[in-house]
Amino acid sequence: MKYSKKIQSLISKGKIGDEILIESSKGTFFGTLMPRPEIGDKDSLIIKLKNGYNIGIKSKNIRSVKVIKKMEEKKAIREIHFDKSKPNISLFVTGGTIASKIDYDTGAVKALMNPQEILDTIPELSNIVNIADISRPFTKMSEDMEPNDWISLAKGIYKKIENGSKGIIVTHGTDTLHYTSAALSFFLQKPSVPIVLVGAQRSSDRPSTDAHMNLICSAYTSLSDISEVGICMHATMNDDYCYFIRGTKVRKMHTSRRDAFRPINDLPLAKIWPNGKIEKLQDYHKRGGKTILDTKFDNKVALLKTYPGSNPGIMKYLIDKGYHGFVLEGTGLGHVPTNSKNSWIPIIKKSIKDGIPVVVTSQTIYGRVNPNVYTNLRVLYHESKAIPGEDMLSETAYIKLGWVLGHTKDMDKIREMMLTNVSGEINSRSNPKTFLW
Amino acid sequence: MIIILTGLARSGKTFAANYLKEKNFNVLTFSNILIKECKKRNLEPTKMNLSIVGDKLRKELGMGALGRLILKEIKSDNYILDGSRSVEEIEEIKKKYPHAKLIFIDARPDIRFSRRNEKDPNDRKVFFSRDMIDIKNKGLGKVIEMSDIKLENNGTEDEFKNKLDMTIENLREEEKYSKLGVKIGIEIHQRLNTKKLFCNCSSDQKEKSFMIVKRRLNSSVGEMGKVDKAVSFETKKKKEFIYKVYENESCLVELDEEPPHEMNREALVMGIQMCKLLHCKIPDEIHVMRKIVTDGSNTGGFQRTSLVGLNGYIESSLGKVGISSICVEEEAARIDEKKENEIIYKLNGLGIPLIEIATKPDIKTPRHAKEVAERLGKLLRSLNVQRGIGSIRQDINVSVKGGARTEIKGFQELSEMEKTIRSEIERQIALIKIKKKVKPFKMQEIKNVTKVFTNCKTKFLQNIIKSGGNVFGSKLPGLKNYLKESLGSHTLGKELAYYAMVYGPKGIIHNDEDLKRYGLEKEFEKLEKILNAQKDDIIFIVAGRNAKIAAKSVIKRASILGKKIPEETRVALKGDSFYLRPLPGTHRMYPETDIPPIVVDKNLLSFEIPKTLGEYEKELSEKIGRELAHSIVKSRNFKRFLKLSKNISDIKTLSVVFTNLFKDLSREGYNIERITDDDIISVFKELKKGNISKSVLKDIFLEISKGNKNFEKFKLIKGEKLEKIIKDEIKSNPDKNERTLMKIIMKKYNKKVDGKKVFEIIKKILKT
Repeated sequence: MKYSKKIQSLISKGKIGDEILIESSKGTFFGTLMPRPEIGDKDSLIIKLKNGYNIGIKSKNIRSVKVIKKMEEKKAIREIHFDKSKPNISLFVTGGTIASKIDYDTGAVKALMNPQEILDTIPELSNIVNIADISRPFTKMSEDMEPNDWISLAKGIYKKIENGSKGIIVTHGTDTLHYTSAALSFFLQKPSVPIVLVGAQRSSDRPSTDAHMNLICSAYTSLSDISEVGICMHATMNDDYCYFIRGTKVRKMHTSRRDAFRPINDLPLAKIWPNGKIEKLQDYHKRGGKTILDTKFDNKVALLKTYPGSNPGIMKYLIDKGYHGFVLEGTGLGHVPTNSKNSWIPIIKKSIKDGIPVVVTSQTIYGRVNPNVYTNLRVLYHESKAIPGEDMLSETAYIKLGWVLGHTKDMDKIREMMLTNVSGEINSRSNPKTFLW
Repeated sequence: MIIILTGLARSGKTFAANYLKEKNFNVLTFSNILIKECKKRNLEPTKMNLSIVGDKLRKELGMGALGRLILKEIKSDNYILDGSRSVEEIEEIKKKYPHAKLIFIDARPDIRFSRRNEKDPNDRKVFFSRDMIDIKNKGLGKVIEMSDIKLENNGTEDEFKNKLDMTIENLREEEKYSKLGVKIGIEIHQRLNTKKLFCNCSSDQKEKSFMIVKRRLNSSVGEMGKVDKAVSFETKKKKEFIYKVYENESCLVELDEEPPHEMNREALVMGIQMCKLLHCKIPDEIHVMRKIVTDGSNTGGFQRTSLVGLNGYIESSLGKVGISSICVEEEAARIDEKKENEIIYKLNGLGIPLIEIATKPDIKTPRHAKEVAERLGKLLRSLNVQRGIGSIRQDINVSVKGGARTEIKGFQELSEMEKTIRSEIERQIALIKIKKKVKPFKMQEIKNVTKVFTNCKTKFLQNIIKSGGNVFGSKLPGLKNYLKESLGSHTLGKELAYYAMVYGPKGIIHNDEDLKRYGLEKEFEKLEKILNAQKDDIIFIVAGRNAKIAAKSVIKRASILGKKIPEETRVALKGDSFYLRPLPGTHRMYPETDIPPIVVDKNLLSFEIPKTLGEYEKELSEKIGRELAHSIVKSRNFKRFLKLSKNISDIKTLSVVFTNLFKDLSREGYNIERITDDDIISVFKELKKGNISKSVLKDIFLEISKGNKNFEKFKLIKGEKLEKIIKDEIKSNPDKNERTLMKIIMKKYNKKVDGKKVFEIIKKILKT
């Protein structure tokens, strides 16, 4: 409890959830004692009145607090019985909005500690799949995730696939969901079953949550033959269908909209309707075969952004800190400041000479980096030997470089691997349909 | 009815007592009791003696002595007791007659002084010093405090008589309804004239929609781990919601695609001001809550609402009515169109700030409810609120002893309210009677009886079956003949039909109706066998979409007719009301975590209470007369009037323009929206300068409403020009007298000349 000492002594033996009677200068109030969120005035006692409203009363206005009735034990969450005849899939719960509820300590949204609670809100899932097991490798908001989490998640998934799971669903926070999807795409190549990552932009405690449709569509996707790592979430602002988007070609493009995840330089793999209908939109890796688990990863890689006035000294600093590779998010076709006072060229040249690769992507997000059109590009790619990131997303390039450096430190090999498509991260063609999809 | 009158000298007590005597009340005065006592003791009833006897009595019989004595004189329950001055006396009377009403008659000091008679002191100071003695020494102050009803008597005798009539009528009605144990509460929702409550969108609702968004809602578990009854009811209906989106009047917040912004400060301040106007206590911290509403009217599946005040009151003709809460909340989206499987909502209404005022169930009668609603409405209009259709809504809660709390929504007009409440009281009384006569029963089997009706004569059943729909049938044991019974404004059969209709079907068909009307006699005979119905059972059918759930809903309701009267939400319809959904509980509220609690600090409390419309009316009455003041204050143009009255001194004419003149023009189909504040100011400038006459105001504004702002042609002919005209007329009519000349000129130049001036000039010229 975060109440002030004065309030605590007024409440004395009362506990959160007890029915209390407050005598105060504002009147007599009967209701339920509520926990104190961290925000607001901790010297105000919060009571949920019989009409359902919460109000706060300052300690100096309270004459007495009497406990009328102790809180009744909450009823256990209803048990959900899965239909054993449905295909077995494995669920990984890692946290985020999709697996969150109201937190009375902070007054904010908090991760569900019991994975079962997700199913409680979406009982329809049991009509589609038999969730054979639920794993919780860690519980984190996605902004707190680190490369080691991707590795442990990949290993956990691999184990379930080996054990015969027919599909994988991972619930995940949305902020860095596309980093995780890219990482899993390199760590689990040619997966024998679909690996579906799913999040929600509206928390599950509200009737309008997108978690509901996202999870149902994910369940159908996990049983489909689109055996790829991808993100399955709302395609539009409507509750009509989801997109399943390839894990290396997807990006969160809006802070709050439910259709925030968009394919970049790519089409979605498929449209998925909540009634199970699936419309495939491009070629994909089919179910079957053997999944390749490859989690070698060098996390001494940095993702930097160049911009007018940016200081290349940051790169020198990181090299001195022992970094092994860089992805620079350049401008336009893949430029970095070249002839200006703050030219990045000298440090890039030196870095590559010293065996530290520099990959360049573009902050335009859409489109492909080009090494030839302008003189400055030629200086960067031909003279300085930076690696043009093709049509890769900066985030994907960053993860790929870490993965490549996990395998080799040989510059030619690095260049070759970075420019070879491994998991759909590079499209050799720029499909005109894909812009602002 | 026992009425005790109190008030200061010359406030009108005796007048009231005499008037009510004409209305067949018996009148007893406290001073007469004293005089009687004096006579008993063989004392002259001089002021001195009266006072001595009074003191003696109090010593012997206690402070309530006169109360006890007067009680002995009361021989029926139709008495006026005039001139009580002590709390103890009144307590004695109320002990025996708990429903006795204490009426405090109040009049302004100057008015009381002007009403003095020959016995009263002529000196102001002496006159008013009596007030202080009465209030402090004799305890009249405390008596006034405990009065049930306050009546103002500052106007004419007729006005006061009217007030007395109204009060007596109200009290008679109150007596009748209090015997039935009637309790009524009102909830008023008033839209505020600000940007939206949790985003910066316009609240105008004038735009056209440019796109739609489709959504569904799921019921979720509340803060306390329970799903609310009303919520699961809505989710059962499984509809798709379509939202019309507007560019400036909705944004991602209304679309539930972006977290809410902070609460609109102006709206919050108005909420706090309303608390002050209604004497409410304001919490130290305001918490925004989510109230789960899954009928689609809120894209998030909840309405954001916050309690800003509680435990206040408002004065009324039947005494104080408690205010249980004042909330500042979001308006819901309005329905644009309702289809079978989907509802289309307009997002431009969602999120408009509302002040919700809920009274305690202190309202005594249907008429009283209307009065309180009107009083609250008038107070609300003192704030910056929206006007026009839909900007204010009233819901009412009604229960009778042995009945159940019923919420009635959706009044189109305030005038409907009284009748609807009366119907609801009748309905509950009828249901209580039925409860005593019938037995509760278990859920009945519902059978698909489509086959029985495949060849029936009823067209609408045929249509449903042809389009693949089903007919379901079941029975209501022991209810035969009861469905014909009247519940006041409709039958029990129709009442039950609404429990089916809320799920989609158009109604039910049952065997308490004339089945020949449908041509379904044979089919129902077959049904009797299929359903194994007994003679005293009702058999009924429901057809179409959701027919099975609908049938279940009917049986569920009918099964408890003999057990209890359920609490429910009903919808008002032409003075009657029908079932809408179960009454929501408190489980559907949980904190809005996207908005931190609002600490009510000094800054927030520092805003002054706005002047109320009542106060404006009083003030204006003195300047422009009572009637005009009343209509300008009521007018939609009142805000504009206030603004312009800073620049225009002739406010009497200004208020005539805003009330009668504008009303006429708009009735005649002219677009008065085109008349700007600047237009009005410039017209009044000319008026002040004497360049135009009042009689052309209507013509000028009519022209302006058509876009023609040049009113040169309406200008008065003045000075030498006027003199010349008159001279010419006199020349051409040499033998005419003043009056005839006047007629000729006025007919010819009508509104372009000032009659008074013309007459003056004629006189002047003829003299010379």
